[in-house]
Amino acid sequence: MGTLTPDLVLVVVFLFAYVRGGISAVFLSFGAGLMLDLRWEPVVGLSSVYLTVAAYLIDLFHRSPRFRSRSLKYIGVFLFLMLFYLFKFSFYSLLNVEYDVSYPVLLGRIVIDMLLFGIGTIVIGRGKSVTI
Amino acid sequence: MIGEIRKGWLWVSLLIFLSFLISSLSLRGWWGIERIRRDFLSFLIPVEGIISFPLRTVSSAVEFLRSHSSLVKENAELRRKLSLVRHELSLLKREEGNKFVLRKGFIPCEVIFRFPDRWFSEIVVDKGKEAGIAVGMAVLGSKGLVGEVVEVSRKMARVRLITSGNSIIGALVKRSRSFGVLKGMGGAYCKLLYIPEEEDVTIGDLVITAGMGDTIPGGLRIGKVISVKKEGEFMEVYVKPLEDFSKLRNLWILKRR
Repeated sequence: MGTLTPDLVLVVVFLFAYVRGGISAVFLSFGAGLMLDLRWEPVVGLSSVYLTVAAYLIDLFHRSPRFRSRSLKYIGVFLFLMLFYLFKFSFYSLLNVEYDVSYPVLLGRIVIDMLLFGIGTIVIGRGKSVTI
Repeated sequence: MIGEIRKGWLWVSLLIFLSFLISSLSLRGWWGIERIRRDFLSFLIPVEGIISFPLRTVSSAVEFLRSHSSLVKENAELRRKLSLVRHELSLLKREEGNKFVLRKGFIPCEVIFRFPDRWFSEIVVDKGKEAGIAVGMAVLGSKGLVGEVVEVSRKMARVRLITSGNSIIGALVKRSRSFGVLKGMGGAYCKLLYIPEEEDVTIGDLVITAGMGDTIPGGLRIGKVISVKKEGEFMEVYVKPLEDFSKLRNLWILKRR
């Protein structure tokens, strides 16, 4: 299917936002969204909207002491992923852009993305000797 | 902290505005975006091919081991048929005094990616302008019509499948010569429209291309009728394509004369 898959880019963006945070994560998300759309989508620019906002919100949550809990982090990623696909298909519906979606497959992909995210945080956490 | 949050929001707002500006240009079909996309894909696809080569090799090896015995039988059958075709070709050449020339050429190609959210709408194949591909050429599978080339770059081509909701092809029922328009439905089936209610169409009838216009030639097999409902002025006819659209891999693009 290709290397620059939407799921992989999402996970990388979320990982970067958690580890690095700040404005650099927002800019990375914007660029990643453009590359995603150039590779996969008929309309270029929409993925950048969701990813930019998601990266910024993840950064805010990460800074706030209330959201340092590990379970909240995974719940947050799950919600962001759900909202990402919801926004995408809502926009496509509004813009009358053709799309097919299988919701069971979509849910499976979200679960895999969360697993990848979890593995990523563990690997980065061990490399930096910091609990993420 | 609050200052940082405000500064962050300024950048986010600016980037969101830029994103909507870009998507607006994309929706209007601005040529610059498509040109950037073609150049980006021309760079990315070969890189992805290299990265995915080990996985594809392993996948092919596993598939080969799994289907070894049936491949041996199929090989023997194909060799027998090939010798038969060669014999017929040699007869034809003699009959026409060695003036036999293939009237139409087929360009073999392979599906290199599919859009996950538009699985039954579009595919991208690994041949482009360099191989002589042009917009409007018909794309065939081993069993029937698959789609039509809608966009071509130097080394790739985008194909709209007949199952796409945007696909409209002139078609007719081979047995009764009832003419209609085949429209994709975004899934595994198509619908044959504008068949008058009094026409003779039954389940199992073969549907072929009608060959109207300058694009897809006539006589190409498309699918079989699976449902006929007589409602009002026109019939509601559903067609199941002969080709399995969930497993498209090796295809042929039909050159125009």
